[in-house]
Amino acid sequence: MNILAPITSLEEGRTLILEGAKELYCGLQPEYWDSVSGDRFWLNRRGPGQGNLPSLEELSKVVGLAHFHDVKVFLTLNQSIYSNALYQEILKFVRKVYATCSPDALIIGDPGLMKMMKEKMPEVTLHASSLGGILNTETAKFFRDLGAKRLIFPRYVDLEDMARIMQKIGSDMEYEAFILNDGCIFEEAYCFANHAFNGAICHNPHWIYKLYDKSGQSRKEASRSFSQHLRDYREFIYIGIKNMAESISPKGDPMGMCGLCALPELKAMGVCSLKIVGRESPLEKKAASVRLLRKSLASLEGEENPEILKLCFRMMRSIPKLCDSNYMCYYRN
Amino acid sequence: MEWALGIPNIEKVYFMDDPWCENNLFRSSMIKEISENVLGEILFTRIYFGQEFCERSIPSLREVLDVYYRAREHGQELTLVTPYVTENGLTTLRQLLQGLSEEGLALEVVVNDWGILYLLNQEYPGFKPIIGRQLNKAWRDPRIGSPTENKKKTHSQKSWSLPMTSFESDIIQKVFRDFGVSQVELDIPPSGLNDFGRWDNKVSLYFPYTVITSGRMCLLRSWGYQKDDKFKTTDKTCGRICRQFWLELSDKSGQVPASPNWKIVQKGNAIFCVFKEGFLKDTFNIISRIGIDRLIFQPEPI
Repeated sequence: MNILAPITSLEEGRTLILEGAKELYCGLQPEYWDSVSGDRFWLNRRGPGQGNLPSLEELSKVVGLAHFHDVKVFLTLNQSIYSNALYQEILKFVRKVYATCSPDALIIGDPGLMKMMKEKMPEVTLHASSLGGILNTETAKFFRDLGAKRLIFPRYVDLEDMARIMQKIGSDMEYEAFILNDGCIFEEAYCFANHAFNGAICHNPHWIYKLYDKSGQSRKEASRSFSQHLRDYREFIYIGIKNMAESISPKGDPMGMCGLCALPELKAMGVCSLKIVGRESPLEKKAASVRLLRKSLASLEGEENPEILKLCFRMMRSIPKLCDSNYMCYYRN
Repeated sequence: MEWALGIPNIEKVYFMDDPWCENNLFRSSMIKEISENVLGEILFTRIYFGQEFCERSIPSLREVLDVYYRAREHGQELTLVTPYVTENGLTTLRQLLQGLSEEGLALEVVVNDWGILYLLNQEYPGFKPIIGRQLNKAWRDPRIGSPTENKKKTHSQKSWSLPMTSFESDIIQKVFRDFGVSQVELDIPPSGLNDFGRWDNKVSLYFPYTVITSGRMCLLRSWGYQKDDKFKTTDKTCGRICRQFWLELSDKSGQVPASPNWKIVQKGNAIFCVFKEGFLKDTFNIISRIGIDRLIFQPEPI
């Protein structure tokens, strides 16, 4: 299984390749894009200066370096809505990219964009983004038939479901799963909020929730019980979504969502790529994540008992209380 | 224009007898009055049964048939509404479609999952697929700005780059046509309903709820669970607390500014804008101008 790491610069690419990443993914929002689309409608899920490479020249250097080390580079175009005019602009942009360098695939969530790319540039490899919402076999078939070569499972897909989907779709396709860092409360493919509008609406720490029953009453007893539930919810958000205020563990590992205990199953079912989330994260966090995953993958060599391996991963992380809380787990039982 | 009434689950069939009965989330009678003033008398000729957000609430065949026969008694057609699904939900939906097929009922089906669109196209071509609002992508973030603010902005921001929903693009329309789709759905964008690029087929509009986001992790479902069992996506059981309670959300910090046009509520696993009368009145005036083929009134979305 390959380690797939996020980058925003050549320097990050160089460091993460040395740490053990075999695949890199990145975004690129060219400088002129604001004049095309307005400053709040991005080419991918992150805005300029927030998780994107600064220029096409930088992408070209990243691709050159990566290919020299036999590492692949994927360019993400995973916005969920584009206008007619933007589709044409994206096509021009992608043609320019491939005239300059050769990323190994484009990551796409929008079926229209995938269809257009397959028709206009059939030689380009396409990955179906987690924004495609591949939660079941029929959705996997939908994106396979549109031309995707790899399916990226959204966060928290049940491991049994993942195995069943892969079994039905077959080994001609590649499969990618989330493994470390940021969670999401809502389903990315079905979220219509935009972080560009003053941050994430989903885990807004300032939300005040008022509980009503179906008669429109706000009753004290239910509200008291729900307040306790909200405390747990906020703890879950702090651990699983806010990555414990971006802190690091005593061993220097990043906090946040983790799927290491599922590695034996992911390997057995044939997942080929393990995604570390967080294009916007600092390089230190990305590098620590790659190191942690590399060590974890090394543990898989020579040991097949999943229970022993899980124990090994827990010891490796050295945060037993958090592991026991289940609030850090991408793949919960 | 056709009027449809949304019935999210079997417990809410009483809305079929009294669609405008008092509602705790908005003033039904006011909305009815505003609607009729602008759009004329309302006659619900279609029932939308089921909901779009949670596979744990997919109705049974018996429930669908029950509502179907009730609707027929009132001279109404039935549309089945479906959510996005995991493998478990896919199995449930496939069984339901198979059962309906065996009953000889090739209904309209609102799809909110690309896989269900694919399934209908491949295995159940007799059913008529409608692209649900969650596949018709749009920015529904209430912070996107008011219609007035956006009018100012679009001059400097290339208005053509801001589609209201994804079906306005020729490329997406081509995908929809490949799958035999002739009708798409939308809800009211918080930025206001605009003229949109029409296509040759039909458009439906939900009101007064616009979905902002939803997920498989349900805040209400795990209320009362052991702490370490909470906030899972994979549980297949549900106590359906979402049918008993709802939440009103407010933010005094200003990250999500309050608005006279809507309030923000959470039902189960989904967050909605619920539009108020003044905003709806403006919207209905626009509807009468731009043409919508079907209006779907949802007393409750879940």
